[in-house]
Amino acid sequence: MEKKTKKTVWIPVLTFLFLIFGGMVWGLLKPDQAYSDTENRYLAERPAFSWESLFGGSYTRDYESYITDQFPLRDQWVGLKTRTEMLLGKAETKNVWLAQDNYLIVDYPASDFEGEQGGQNRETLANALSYYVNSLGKDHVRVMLVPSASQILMDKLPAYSPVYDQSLYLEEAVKAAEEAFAKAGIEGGAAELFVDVEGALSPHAGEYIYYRTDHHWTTLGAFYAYQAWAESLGLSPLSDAGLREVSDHFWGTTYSRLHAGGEADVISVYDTEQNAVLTHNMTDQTEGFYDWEKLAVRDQYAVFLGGNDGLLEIRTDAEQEGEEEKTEGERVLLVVKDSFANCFIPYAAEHFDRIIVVDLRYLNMSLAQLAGQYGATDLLVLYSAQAFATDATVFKLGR
Amino acid sequence: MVFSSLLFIFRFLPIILLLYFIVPRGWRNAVLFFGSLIFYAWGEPVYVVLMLFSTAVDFTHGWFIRRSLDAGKKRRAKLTLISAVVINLTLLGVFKYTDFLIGLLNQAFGLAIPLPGLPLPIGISFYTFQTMSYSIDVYRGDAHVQKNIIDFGAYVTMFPQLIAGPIVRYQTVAKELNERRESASLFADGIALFMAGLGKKVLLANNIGLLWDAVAAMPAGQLAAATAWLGALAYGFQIYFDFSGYSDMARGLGLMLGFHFPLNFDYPYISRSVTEFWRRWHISLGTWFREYVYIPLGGNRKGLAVQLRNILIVWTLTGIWHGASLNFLVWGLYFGVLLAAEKLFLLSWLERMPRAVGWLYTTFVWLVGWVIFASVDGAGGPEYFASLFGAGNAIDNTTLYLLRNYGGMLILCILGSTPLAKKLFLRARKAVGGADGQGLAWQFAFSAASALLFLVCTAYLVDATYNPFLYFRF
Repeated sequence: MEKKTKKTVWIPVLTFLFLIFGGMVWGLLKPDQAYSDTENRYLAERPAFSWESLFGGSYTRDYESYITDQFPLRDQWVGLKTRTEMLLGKAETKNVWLAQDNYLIVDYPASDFEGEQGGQNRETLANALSYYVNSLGKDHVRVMLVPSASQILMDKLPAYSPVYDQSLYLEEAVKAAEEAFAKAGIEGGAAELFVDVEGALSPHAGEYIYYRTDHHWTTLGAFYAYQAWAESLGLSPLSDAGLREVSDHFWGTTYSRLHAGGEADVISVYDTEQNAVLTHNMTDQTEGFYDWEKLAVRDQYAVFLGGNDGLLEIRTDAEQEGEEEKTEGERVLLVVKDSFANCFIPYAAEHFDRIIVVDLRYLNMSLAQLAGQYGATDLLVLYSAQAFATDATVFKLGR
Repeated sequence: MVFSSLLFIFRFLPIILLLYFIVPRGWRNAVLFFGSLIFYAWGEPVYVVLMLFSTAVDFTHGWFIRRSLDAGKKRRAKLTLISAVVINLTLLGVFKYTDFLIGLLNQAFGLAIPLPGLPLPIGISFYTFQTMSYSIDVYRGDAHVQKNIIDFGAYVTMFPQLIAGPIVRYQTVAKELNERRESASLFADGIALFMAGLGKKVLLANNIGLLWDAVAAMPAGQLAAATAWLGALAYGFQIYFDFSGYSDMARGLGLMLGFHFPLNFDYPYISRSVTEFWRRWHISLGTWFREYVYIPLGGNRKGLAVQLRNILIVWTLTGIWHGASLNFLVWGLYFGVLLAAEKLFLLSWLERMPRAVGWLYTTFVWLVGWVIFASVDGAGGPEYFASLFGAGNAIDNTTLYLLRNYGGMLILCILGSTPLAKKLFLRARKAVGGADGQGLAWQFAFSAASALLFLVCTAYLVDATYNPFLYFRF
């Protein structure tokens, strides 16, 4: 059947051509971006051509990653995809649950906890604990493995969500420590060294203890855990979190995966009167626990301690300023941690004269030596359980 | 290169369209040929030589066959045809089946011959079948000999159908290869098909594929029966929307360039018998085997016994065409046996039954078929079958969660596998666009809808964590 073609047929044709040519021209004109703030990673750049890489197949592969990574309005496309997923009624997209109360909750797979790394890290921890219990004493060594939001805020998850029970990992870690202690002849078991963080947080599940759009706990969440920790050490913890709101427009890392959904988070800090002097990596000195300038960047969580340093020394004994050596009776806390500890430390500082904060991801020194050098009297290992189980630098705990 | 990639849509396609339409008509096949070589070489920079070899072989053989026939030398023509077929099948055999055959030998006789482990050239099963069809068509007098190697090369390597079909027989496009007429109206029809295909692949296949992957990642022996069936259904939807989406995109691109490629999928999941299913599923492959294997073997004209033999031969071949692995062989024979049974008695019995019975039976057959098909990745196998047929719970929380998470997607897939969407599209075009379907309001509505679909697909491609290519075994 030969039908007579009207000029109107050009409308869809030109629309289509406009879209594909427009996308190409825009992509070619847009300057390449080296780093993505929101994704926290370096983007693929135009691959260098060589015949070898062409015939090996890597040139064309890299070129495709380059096109994808440098596509104009990348974040907006990601947001459009998430919105489509929501429209389709998805409960979970890209390993993030679209949970109640505008919570975006990361779904960490069981393999994060059951993998080989997780097992190795448990062993490392067990041996390190028995070493430090021998040198510091049992009452001075504590471990906090913080469960992620999916463990505590389970009620907010979509119905029937299969949640990996992170307490299983903790149980295994305790078991490994018990064995190491038995081998080292330490009496009384290891369980008491593990602060029951889940037990401290769960009763407060209805409160604002995790960020909606970020994987971290809030300062309030850290406060409840701090109370449990301080009590276990025989200290008398603060009874009030003493929060002060400093930002009401924080969009965290989980949001960055989706670019849609959620609700802006509020950052509050512990409004302390301590005069803290922070020495970053033995060189730069700053004052105060908080780096207010970080509230202006995308990852506002870095307001706490100014982000992660390999080695951070915190002195709160302001009147003794100038005295470098540890004086008699001072308590020095060594914290080996990931970023979960950053909002926790201002509370801990209420009970210690100095805190040495170590982030093993960025530090290449012997921990035991460091503990001796600073005269550490106490040790706290504080990680989010998932990060602890997957981090490849935890082995440095045993150095 | 695959169609469902930003590189194809925002680089290759605009450039090739531009070149194709600015050069004089006589040069268009050359643009197609060289453009297609780049398209193919992008993913197979080395094996592109193999494809050129196959092209050259059939071009020269076809020419020689025609010359022999013209000289009245029938026997020489036949020998030449055999030579062409043998070369093509050797190519396919060496690159696709060597490991499989050696593996079988090793197993059967306890040998330890090392496997060469040659990677399978993309699309080799498609283009060798196409080039063979040329030599056979020329031999049978179903097609004129092609005297221009560029035109012939354009046929073999034509990027729209190069890597995932449809398998276009030479006689189907012989005429259009030299005398086609591109037009805005064909181009617009092509856009509709391309968009439909892109949506099927990127929105439906990739997303329901996540459900299959989730089920496949669970221990097969511990699945609730409902979860196992859900997994099989998801896989069935994934492979259907992926494959038919690809075919739609191919046909759409063909129309843009002025070619009419044959329909490859005709709503197979509404079939009410296995016979009907295979008339609707991968039609171009079925046609190829019918034309070049089944009928030459005598088809159904030499008595029931020969017919049954022919069915089993064709389905053994169909099975291993899909991949060099035992499960594909089993899968092919499974359908061969059912088709034979339908020929013998089942079909006439089904016709007396209510329509729903035929549909349920056929759906059950292809669901089980896909589990056999998928088991090459270790996800299927005996344990999966045990779960399917109730070794574990009937249903559990995992099932409910998967339904909760993928329910919307499943409904879209169910609707998408029926002719409903197409009917609605045609009805809307008639209602809004008038009798010729070209009214202004319709053209705007159609443009807006395809632009929206296009943008959503782009969003999924930009954020592609999952965009598999399923036919690497074919």
